[in-house]
This record gives sequence, C-alpha cells and structure tokens, in this order.
Amino acid sequence: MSPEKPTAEEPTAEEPTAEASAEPVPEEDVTRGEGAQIAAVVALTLALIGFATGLAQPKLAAPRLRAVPSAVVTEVPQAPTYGQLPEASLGPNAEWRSHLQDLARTPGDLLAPREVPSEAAKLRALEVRAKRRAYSGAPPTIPHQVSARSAASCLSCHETGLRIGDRVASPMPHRLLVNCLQCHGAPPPRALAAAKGGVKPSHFRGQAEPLRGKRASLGAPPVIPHATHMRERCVSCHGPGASSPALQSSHPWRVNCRQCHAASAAGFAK
Amino acid sequence: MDRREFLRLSALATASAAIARRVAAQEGPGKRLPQAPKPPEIPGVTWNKAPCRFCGTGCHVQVGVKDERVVAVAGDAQAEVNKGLLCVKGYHVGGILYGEDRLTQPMVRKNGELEPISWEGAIDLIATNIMKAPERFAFYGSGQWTIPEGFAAQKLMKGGLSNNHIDPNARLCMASAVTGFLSTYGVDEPASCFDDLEACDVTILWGNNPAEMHPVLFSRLMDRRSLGNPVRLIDLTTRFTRSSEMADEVMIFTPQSDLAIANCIAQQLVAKDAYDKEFVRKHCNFRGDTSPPTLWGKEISFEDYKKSLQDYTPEKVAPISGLSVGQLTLLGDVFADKTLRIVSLWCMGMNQHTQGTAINNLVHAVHLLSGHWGKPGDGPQSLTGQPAACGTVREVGTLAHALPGGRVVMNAGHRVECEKLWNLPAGRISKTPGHHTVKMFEKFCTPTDKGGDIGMIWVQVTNPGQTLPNLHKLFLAKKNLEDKFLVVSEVYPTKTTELADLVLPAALWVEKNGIFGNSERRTQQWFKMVEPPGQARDDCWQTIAVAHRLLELGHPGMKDKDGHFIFRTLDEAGREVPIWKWEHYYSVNVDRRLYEEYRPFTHKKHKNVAPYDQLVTHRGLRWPVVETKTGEWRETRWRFVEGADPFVEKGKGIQFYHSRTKDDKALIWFRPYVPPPESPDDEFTHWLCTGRVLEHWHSGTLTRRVTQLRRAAPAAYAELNPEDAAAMGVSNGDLVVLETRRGRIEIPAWVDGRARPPRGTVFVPFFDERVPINELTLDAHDPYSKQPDYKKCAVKIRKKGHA
Repeated sequence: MSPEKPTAEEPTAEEPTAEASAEPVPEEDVTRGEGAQIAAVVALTLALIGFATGLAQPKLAAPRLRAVPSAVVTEVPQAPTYGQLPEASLGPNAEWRSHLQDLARTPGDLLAPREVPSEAAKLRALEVRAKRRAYSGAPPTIPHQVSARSAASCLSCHETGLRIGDRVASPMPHRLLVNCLQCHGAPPPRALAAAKGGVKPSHFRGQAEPLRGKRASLGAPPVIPHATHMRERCVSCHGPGASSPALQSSHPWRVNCRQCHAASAAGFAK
Repeated sequence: MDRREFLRLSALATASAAIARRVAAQEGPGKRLPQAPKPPEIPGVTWNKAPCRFCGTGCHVQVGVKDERVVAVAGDAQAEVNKGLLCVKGYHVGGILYGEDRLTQPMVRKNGELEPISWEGAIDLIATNIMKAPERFAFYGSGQWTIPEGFAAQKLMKGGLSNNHIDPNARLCMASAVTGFLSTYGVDEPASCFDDLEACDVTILWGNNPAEMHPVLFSRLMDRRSLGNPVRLIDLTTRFTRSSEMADEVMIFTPQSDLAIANCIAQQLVAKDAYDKEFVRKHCNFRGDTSPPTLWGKEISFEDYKKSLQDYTPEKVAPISGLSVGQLTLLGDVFADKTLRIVSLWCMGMNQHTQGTAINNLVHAVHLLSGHWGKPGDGPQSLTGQPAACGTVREVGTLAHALPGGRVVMNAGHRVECEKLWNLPAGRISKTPGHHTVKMFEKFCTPTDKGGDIGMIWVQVTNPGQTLPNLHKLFLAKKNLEDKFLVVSEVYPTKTTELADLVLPAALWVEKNGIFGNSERRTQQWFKMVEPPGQARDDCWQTIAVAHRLLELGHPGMKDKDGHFIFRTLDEAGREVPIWKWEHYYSVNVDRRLYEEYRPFTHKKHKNVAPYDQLVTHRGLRWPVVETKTGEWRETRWRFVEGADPFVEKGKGIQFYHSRTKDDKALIWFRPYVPPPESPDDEFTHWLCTGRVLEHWHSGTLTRRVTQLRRAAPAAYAELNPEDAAAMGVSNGDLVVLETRRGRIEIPAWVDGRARPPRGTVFVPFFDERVPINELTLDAHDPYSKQPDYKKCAVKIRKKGHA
C-alpha cells in the first residue's frame, strides 16, 4: 500500500499510538521508491481533502432544511393533507435526493481517515451498550416502539443494517432469525404505559463487557475478548456502519476479521 | 508542507513498532515484552451447563458464575433441543435468583403476622402437625419439582405415610395429555420427538401459540424457511396470534369445536376411503364411548366407527366450528395425502379443556387413521409447559392415583412392586387414590365439620393462590378457616404465601442440584453452582428433614422393612450420612442417590432413564436409554418404531407394546362433540380465554422480577377485538371491568396488541398477581383427567364507569 514499509526484521504495528507518533523517525529507517512516493502523496492528499470535506459537512440533517437554496425548495412538493392522500401523487422530494448522496458516501468511504477514538470514548460506548444488555452477550432490549405482532418490520432495517443521517440500525450480528421478539425485549406497549411497579426488582449484576483483547506480543492482532456466539458478524458492531464510532475497527476495509483475530472460547462447559 | 516533511509524517505510523522494539531492546531482553497470552477467557467467569428453569422445551443454557453469583447466560450450542438459541426468558433466567425480596428466613404466622422461626422449629411444626392426623395431610407439588424432589415427596407420602393425597400443579397443565396417551397407546408420553420439526412438511397447531410459548421450537420450524427448506404451517386457533402471523393457513374456530373438527377430518378420511388401510389393519383397534362414558371405553367395529362419524361432514361441522367447508376439506385433504409428513403440536389449548382427554384421543386418532404416525416428521407431538412436567409428574408419578414408573395405586401388583423396590413392608401403600388438585383444595377450603377432610397442605415449587381456577372457591375461602394449616416452600412472596401459616425459604434452580425431564422424554441434569441466599434450603432437603422428624416422633412409616430410615443414605465407605441435617446434605450427592433408587422403577413401562453419570456428560438423553453391547448408552428418538426403539421386536415395524388391548395395537377413538359447560349468553356475552405471554412464565413470580422482562410486559391486559372495543367506546389503556359468575376484575384494555381475538372474545394473561384473572375462571374439569378448562367461560365486559 505504501512505500514506508518497515524492513523485514521489524514487525508491523497493529495501529499507530499517540506516544509513538511523537517520536521523530530517522529517514534511513525507511526504504522508498520514487514512483511509490508520488502515489502516496496523491493518495494522502485525496484522503485529506476527503477528510476536510467530511468535517465541513455537519452530520445532523435538520439544519440543512433551511440551508437548501430557494430554487431547490420550489421543487419540493407540498405534503398533502390526510384528505388529499388518496389522490396525491407521491414521490421523492428534492431534499431526500440530496440526502441520498450523503448516504451513499457515509459508510462507503472505507479508506477515509478517521480519528482514533479515545479510551474514554470507547468506555462511553460500552456504557451505552451495557444499558440495553443484562450482561455481556445478552440480547439487547429494543430502544424503540415495535410492532407487537410481526418481525417483518424489524427485518426491514436490521436484516442488513441501515443508516439515515446519524441514526443507525445495526445489522443483526447473528444468522437470520425471524422471531425477533423471542429474544429481544420490547419497550412497554403504549396501552400499558400506565402500569407501575407491582413486584420488587432483581439485583442481578451481569458480567460487564470485557475491555480490549490481549495481544500475544506487541503488534500482534488482539484476540476477541468477548464470546462470539450469536455475534458472528463482527461488522455489526465494528464495521463501517456501526452505531458507535468508538467501537469501529481502525481498518474497516478488512472483512475477514477472524483471519487475524482469534476467537475467545469464553470457556463454555464441555 | 514539502515532500520531505510529508514523508516523515506518513512514515510515523508504520515505523512506530520499530521504535518501540528498539526501546525495549535497550532496556534488556524480556523486560518490556508482554507475557505469552493466557487462554482467552472472561476473567473469573466459570461456565457450567443447566437446563433452563422455565418451560417444557428443555433448552440448555450455559451459566456463567463469577464470585459466587450468576453473571451471564448463553444458549448452549451443544444442546440438541435449542442448538445455541434461547428465548428472552432464557437469556434473562439468571435474574430470577436475585430479586430484592427473596425469602431467606423461615416464617410462621402468629396473630396474623409472619414472624421468623428457626429451621428446627419449622420442621418440627410441620412434623407434629402431620402426626396429629396423617390422613388429613396433603402435599401439593409441581412440574417444576426436580425428579429427586418429586421422588422424595412421593416416597414420603405413599411409601411413608400411606397417604395418596399428593398431586401437582401439572394436573392443571397436562393431565389430559396423560389420559389421552394412556387411553390411546396404553402408556403415557409422546412417542415422537423434536427432530420431527425439521423433517415434517406440514405442522398443524391445535390451539397452540408456540411463537410465544415454545419460541425455541417455533424458531426451529421457522428457520427452515430462511434455510430454503420451507414448512407449511396450519394454525387452528381461537385468536390470531404471533404464530398465526407466520402461518400459511389460519383457521379461527369457535371454542370447543376442535372436537368436531378432528372428527370431521376422520369422517373425510373414511368417506373418501383415503385412510391408511394397511396401517390401521396392522396397528389399530377402534374404540368408542360406553354409557356413561369412561376413560377406557369399549371396543367398536369399523362399521360402528364409520357410523359415528356420519354427523361430522364438512357441511355439518362448518356451522359448529365457524370454519368454512373449504377449510375443513383442506384439513381432510392434508391428512389424506400420504406423501406429506405431518406434525401436530398442542399444549394448553387442548389440555385445559373439559373434553381434554377426548380431543387428545381424537388428534391421535386422525394421525393413526391416516397413517401419519411413526416416521420422522410424521406424528403427534404434545408439548408441556413446565420443565419437569414429564420427568417428575408423569414419570415419577406425583399424582394422586399414580406410583413411580407408570404404575397406579389401584393395581395390587403395582403396589407390591413398589413396596419391593422401596423395601417396605407389604401393604404399606394405600390402594385408594388421593384427592386430585381441584378436590384437594376444595376439601381444604371446606370447614372440617362439613366434610373438609384435608386439614393441612404443604405446597412446594408452585403458586396455587394465583393459578387455581375459581380462586374464591378453591383458595381464598381458606382465609376464614382457623384450623386449616398451609405450609408454603417458596422463593418469593406470592399470592399463596399471603395465606400461608408457615413459609419456608427455598433454593432455586442452580442454587441446588437438579434433574428435569422435558416434553420429548429427555432427562436433563445439572449441578449446584451458587449458594442459596440467607437460610434458603433445597425443597428436597425440607422433605427429608420432615420425614426424619416424623421418624423421631415415632411415625412407623418412616422405617423400611429392615427398620432403616426410608431416606437412609450411605457414603462411599458405607456409613450413614445424616442428610436430614443441612450441614451434611451436600456431603453426598443426594440427587444421584435418589435418582439411582428411582431408576429401576422406570423399567416396567420401558421408560428406562439413563444413569445419573451419563446425564452428567450429556445435554439430556431421551428414554428409553439402553446400554449397547459396546458399553455405550443409546437414547430413543421414536418410541414404538423398529430401529429407533430397542424394545420393538424385530420385523414388527411399529409395535405398541403397552397396548390396552394386549395385541400391540393402538386405539382409534371416536369421541363425540360435547358443548362446553358454559357459553356466552345474553348476560355474559363474551368468551374469556386465559393464557401466557412470551416474557412471563407461569404466575410471573420469577419473571416479573427481571427488569428486561417486566419492561416488555409490564402488566396484564384484556386483549380486545377492535370492533368490540369500538362498540364499547374503549381504546388502548382504558380500564374495563370483566365479570363472570365467579368473580370480577378491573384491567386495562389492549386493542392493537400482540394478538387479535375475533369478535366476542377477550383474552387475559394470568401472570399478573395484581389482576387475578383466575378469580373469574371456571373449575369445571375433564371427567377423566380432572383438568380444569381455563380457556373458555362466559364473561361480561364494560368500560369502567359505564353501566
């Protein structure tokens, strides 16, 4: 990929650390070729432009409603009233089209540089996860209202995953299962929202999500610290479409995770 | 930024390791280099296997324990039943152990209040009360009893006290399935197994909603669709449920007309000459009702059978059932098609039925008549609702008339066999059946001077104060009877402990050793993994401690023929271990000791359960389990089927070797449609159906304490048809008043809920103790199984505040 390959006797770093980056690099450590240098410059320049462009475009969609030029606004059809609905010709509006371009770029730009999340951000992300899980490995409860009857609506977003602006529906991390509410607890139905209390709660304290996995040696890929049963599709949480950026892989273009990261057996009983 | 600088920056990242390495090298070899990795485990968590605590599916879970507490659960990928998957209850089963209000101290009621009492005092109080009148004592247990717990209670009562007043809550749950199997095959329990779910072409749900009640089995079925091996689902139901949502055919029938529908299928098979003549000739006899009807009926000819069916043509059954002629014909055609493999699934819809035995007989009959029997994927499969309804209740026989291993107290030979196996003096076991559940509680709630011949009940592992039908009559009436004594072994305060005179804190699930038996004859074992809280102790220990106190008080029944304590337990050196003392209870494996005493009982009816040590290394084994010539233990997937069942003689193909008619044949029954004991009328206008929901199990005592489950199903509700609701001016969350001839409750309405009842029907789940729906239900019961009907009675309904 780049000409800045370390010499053969030196191991490849898994990812740069802030500490190491502060050290100057003696030029003689680096072998290089002229053509490759130019390619690297071009690639990095493009990447930086992409990065700057990304920074310039706020992720929140709401303010853009006002930012659309008036000429475009005129193309946006007026929303019909309920009475007009049966006769109304419905179609995508201009605003929606402009969003689609953004959508196409967001998860697709795998090689765009991304900030290395801080330890604090990772911990915060794990905390958010833990709120919806009884223990590490528990099926998460559902944070939004769902159809009480059928899983079809769940699958429309979560089968392959979906991102709209900053809202993410994670793809299911396990094989396709179609009775979603069998395992994932829904929020209280609105009809029963008034129901309170009744019995005292459980003080069950679940096993916390483990932190980073161990490395066999410095620079070795870490092992997967959590059980992978029902979490076989790593990209669900660590891929480019992950709901929490802090848990995303630093190398989202690689898709065969367990080629390098050994699965943890979690010590299940035989 | 010039080229040089750019390169420097670019090189930073990839060269960092080189620097780190060099720094490490300068500080000396091995100093900074990390240690070799340990096995990738979650620190401090040890895992062990256990069957799930809840329903009769019998999923295995991996239980993660850290610092003496259960901290995680995972579906056990090695378990054949669930293949790594669980349901939302199973995933959160660990939470049931840690409710804030766990009972941790024996309590006795004094002046209306529960006050602490020592264990010695509590055990003595029970024993002295029994000694006063052993024949007025009753033991009420459950399908959640482990096999050793049920076996100990059974031995204490029938083998020790010569008292047959022992019955389980399973009487309210699957007693009709038992009588159905008995009167059809001559022996109880399903012959088929869950493997059929992957092998069938058609699954018929008979009043069954497995999407919520047996979700793991339902997923096994539905997963086939995404795996490119589709199955056709026909849902015979009285309301449109989550299972209906996935069904190819949804047939909503009028309550009770399942009898007519089954007969209609048989009628079509006979009328179209589409029944399996070869199968019927070789393997079946015909059976019809005597007058008055009995469980065993009488032999009838095929001509009689044919004649009995003539009133059940699709045209005649359509108006009774509410199904169209087309739907009924479709059912007939499915069974007539010999190329299909058909599984029938049923549970409470058919069992909680005043004609429960009859409808069980009829579903077996359509399978036998059509020859859809005994091939993988082809046969009737009855499901159970409790983890050991089969293992403990049906096999150990903790029923008022039963003895271990499929024996009954009325049979002198059976009594002698049990006395011999138990080393008891001849005549110890009484020949008179005890009171079944409804009668037991009726007698307990009747004043002594008016014939209430039960003075004391000991309840273990269940909550009759919420789950009995017609609660005012069968439970709450105890309140005013001062001389009646209620002992309750429980883990949480319940509707039952509210009226208890003595409350004993019990160990729960992996706080004790245990063995369950699921709906496909699978016996499953687990070890204790954590300590019970406070002074909570095993139910089995409680039973043995009372037995020993009775021995001390001089009850002669607590000794066997040789004068030894009936629960005498020896250690490996042959010395007696005082297991009635809690501190010695786990000095030996009492579960193993009791189970191995029980095991020979299972041989008579060829229900040979596997040895304990085999269970330890398996995720359950399906009986009959026999040792092969090579010393391995082999389980049985299809009973009565040659090649699968080791007890079928060579060349027989299918052999019903416990046949009632002693000719290796099963019975094809005709049972008529009988109207329900109570139907909607001008005053009580709607059908009331009760049942469970996915998130809560049984009376909700355990599951309602688990945050994730309570969040998803916070309260009971009346599920209304939208048109009915509109007619009453009721919308979501409005309080409605439900009233039957037996009771009245207020409850919020749910109109667009998880199921849609047809017009004129209302459904209420029974998990919520704040809304005791069983104060409204009917105690009318099946004449043979004595199982009440919780699925249909007449109710009137109005919006609260409206006349």
